[in-house]
Amino acid sequence: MSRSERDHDSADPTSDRPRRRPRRVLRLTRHTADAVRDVKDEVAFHIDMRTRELIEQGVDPAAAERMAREAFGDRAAIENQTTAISDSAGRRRRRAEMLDSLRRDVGFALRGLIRQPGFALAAIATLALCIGANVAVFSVIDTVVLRPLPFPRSDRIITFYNAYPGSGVERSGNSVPDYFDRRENLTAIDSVALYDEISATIGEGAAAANVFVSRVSPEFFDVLGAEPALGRAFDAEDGVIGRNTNVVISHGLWQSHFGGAEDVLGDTLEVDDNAYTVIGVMPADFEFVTWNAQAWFSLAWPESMRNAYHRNNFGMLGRLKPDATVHQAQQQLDALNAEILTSLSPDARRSLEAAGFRSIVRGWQDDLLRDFRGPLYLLWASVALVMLVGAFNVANLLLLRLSTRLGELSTRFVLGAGRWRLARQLFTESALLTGIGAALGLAFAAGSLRFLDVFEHYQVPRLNEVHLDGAAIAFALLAALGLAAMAALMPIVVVQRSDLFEVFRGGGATGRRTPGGRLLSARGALVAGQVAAAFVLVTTGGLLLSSLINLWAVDPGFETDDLAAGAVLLAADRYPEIDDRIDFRNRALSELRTIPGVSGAAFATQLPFSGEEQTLVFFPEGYERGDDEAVEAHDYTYVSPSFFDTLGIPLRAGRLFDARDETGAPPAVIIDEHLARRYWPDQSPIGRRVALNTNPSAEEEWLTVIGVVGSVVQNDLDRTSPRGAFYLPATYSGEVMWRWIVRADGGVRDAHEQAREAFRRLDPEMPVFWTTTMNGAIAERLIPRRIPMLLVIGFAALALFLTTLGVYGVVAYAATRRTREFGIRIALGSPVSRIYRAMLARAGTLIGIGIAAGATASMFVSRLIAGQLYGIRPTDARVLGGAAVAIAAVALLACVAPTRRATRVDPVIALREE
Amino acid sequence: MAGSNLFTGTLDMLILKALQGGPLHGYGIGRWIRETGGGPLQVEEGALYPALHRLEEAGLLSADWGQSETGRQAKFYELTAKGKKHLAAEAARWSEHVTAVEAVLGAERNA
Repeated sequence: MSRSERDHDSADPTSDRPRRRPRRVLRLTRHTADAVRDVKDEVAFHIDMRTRELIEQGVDPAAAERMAREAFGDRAAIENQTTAISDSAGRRRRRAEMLDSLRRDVGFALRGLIRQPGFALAAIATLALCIGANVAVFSVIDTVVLRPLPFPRSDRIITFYNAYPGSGVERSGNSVPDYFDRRENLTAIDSVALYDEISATIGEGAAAANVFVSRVSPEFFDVLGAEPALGRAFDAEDGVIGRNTNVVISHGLWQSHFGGAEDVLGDTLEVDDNAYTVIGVMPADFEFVTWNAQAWFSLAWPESMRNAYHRNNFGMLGRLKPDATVHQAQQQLDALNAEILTSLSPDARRSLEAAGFRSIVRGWQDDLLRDFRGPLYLLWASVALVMLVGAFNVANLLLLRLSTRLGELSTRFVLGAGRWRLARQLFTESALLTGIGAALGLAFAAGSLRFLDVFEHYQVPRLNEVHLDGAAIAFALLAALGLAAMAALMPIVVVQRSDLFEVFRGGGATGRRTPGGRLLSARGALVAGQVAAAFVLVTTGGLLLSSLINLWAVDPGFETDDLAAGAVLLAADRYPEIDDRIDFRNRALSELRTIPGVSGAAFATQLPFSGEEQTLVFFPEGYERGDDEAVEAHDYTYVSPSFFDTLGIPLRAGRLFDARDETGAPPAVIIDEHLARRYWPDQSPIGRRVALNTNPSAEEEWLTVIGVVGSVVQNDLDRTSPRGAFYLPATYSGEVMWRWIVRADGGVRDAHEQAREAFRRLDPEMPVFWTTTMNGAIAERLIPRRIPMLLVIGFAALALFLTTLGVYGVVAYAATRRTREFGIRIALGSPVSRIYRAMLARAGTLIGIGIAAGATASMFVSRLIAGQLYGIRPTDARVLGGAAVAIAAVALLACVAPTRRATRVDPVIALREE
Repeated sequence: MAGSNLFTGTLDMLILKALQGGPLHGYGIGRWIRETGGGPLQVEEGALYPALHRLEEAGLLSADWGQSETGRQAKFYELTAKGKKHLAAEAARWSEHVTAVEAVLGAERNA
């Protein structure tokens, strides 16, 4: 057929060529339709056309159809065969088309964002901050709270502690007899182990390193389900006194101290100048959760310790039998304690009952997280709120952008892109923003996680393991997707409900039923939501800040300024006798006092705010306890006589320690005001005697009270009831690790160096540890409060800033829309102030609604933070009112600029603009 | 191809050839082959459709639904660029083939 014939064909109305070019817009709908129906249609069309052709040729209509069918062949078979081809082809094509259209959507979205870089930057920065903060907090919570501990069947591991709530001791440790009793009597558990967390000096002389170590009963590693990589763990033999000279070392210590030598087993490790034999090396990934111990020594006790109940110096772990529950273990423990109580004297029994003495068994992980769950969940809630505010803002920005794009969207709509298609486009844009935001947010989170080091000393379990991992990335992706959906929702709803034909015809931005009005109300709702979320965050931050201020105002009971402190180890090989150590301390005090600017120096076994807490029960002679009155444990410290003057602890009655007390005949004790009031409310305690166990057998076990001093906060400024403290002369203690403290009026930094030199002058090999200042130690104690507070305040500030942007955006939009109206009103003589009032009234309504909603939400949040407040109630009117005023002020300020702009337009220009 | 006396691949080539002049629906392609080729190229009409869909899948044809001369919706096929190239190559190959076959047959007859 020649070219001309073809052309003729095309013009012929009866030709088989299409009358019009197939319409491209129909492609999507037809192609996605069912392939079976398409093929059937195609075949039916063929047979119909063939029939017509035959009829036109003069065949009888009835016969024509039969002939057409015959000429076609096996219709069903052909249809099937064709559908099969078409189906697989269609799938492939649809996928390709989806990808193609996604590419186009993304390209379109990208071009749109590049056209408005300010918008894109604002949205992406907001999202990166919000997602980053959320990922960081999630990473911490995931690692610390959500994941099981890194031991086999760690859900079976339980922990024990003794509690004396009636005596103000909610939580103590466990005693040696507890270990033997529970090991023998609790059938719900497989094994039980005692451990402590101390530090020790490894190596000799000035090169000695102070490391964390642990003393453990032989079952310790069995309970954890951990085995050494080399050698063996402890066995029963290691728990026998005199034979406990073996040590299991960490992988780290093996590498650093033994150079990773394969034949390390049997080698000697010098610890606190005693020799231990290495019997095992733990694997590299073994780390005890709360204490990064480098070496484990076996505990053994003389027979005398087996009766030292309530000397709760140890932690205790156990492993439940496979079919046992914590509840069963608790029941058995209660029964055991009841049995032990009946064997005590009536006095002792009464006092323990009054103290509400109970031994508690809990799941280990559950127990480890007791102090961290609250703050972590608070942070999680705060950061989620910030994300919500951020999402509102991005939604708001998208809506703002939508207003400038309605024309374009309506054009696309009129040209045949369905509403669904437009929704997809809007979602793609939103997802592109949140995706970029999530990527940057991950980087931001990775950076911020490095600052977790500040919590180093707080024994947050596994905090050092926190890093960005698959879970964090999945979380970021989910967050990005969720945020994209949230942010795109409002624009999509607006587009779905708008009369886009009307917009296209130019009716655009006027009239109630048009997108303009919808946009405004949608954005108003978003702004009110933002104000509500910001309000909750600002009040939370305010409450935490008030708590911290209240804490700083707590009087610690002594002069904390200008105090420098540290520790020295009076190693047993060079200072074998107690007298040697006393002598060193005396010489050291003289030496320290020669440092210029130093006005006082002292030694003690523990210092306030050092994190240590040594307590003992205390029995005043002849003191009759009421039936419901508890025996209390009190802080006790061995101190040099100069301790009180150096710290500035006032003497209230009697005298301080002096040379008379050092020999210990009769043994002397100084008590604090709290103990004086507690036991001798109406009389002088001076000259009274106290014992440190329930039935002192010998005369020298009685201590005579020689003085009363002011109460001191031992560790926690937020402790609501003082525990009471007593002090014993340093000469009574065989302790080798001593804290020193100097009062240096001439500045503490220098004092540390000078003190170190003073010690070296006396003993060139003297290790000096833990140098700190008292105020530094106090600040560090407050880190667990200060850091979450700073984070919440940071989140609140971010939320407030984003809310201000949101308010600004919505008011600016409204003002632009009403510029013409304002122009007319001003032209007709209306005062500008009235227009301001109208605009501010509208914004004020939104802000008011937001604050009301936020105040309601705060009621729910207050329960979450009540435990973290000090000296302030969650409903504190000043904080709530202050937050409301601050938010309202900032938000209303954001209204002024756009209103000002709108009212200053020349009315003539404003009128002409339409 | 059942019921066809065509060499394998010939139907494909005929379809492509039919579309050289512009878009056609399946029926039109069948009719063109019938009327242009006459008796010897008789195709069982149904066999066209699997072939059409296969060619479409191979990217030699594109297809779109459009309005036919009777006002009904029909699926129109059109040569793609790839289809046009394929047709040209196949046609050349076919000519060579025919020439070769004729030469062989002619040689036998003349022997």
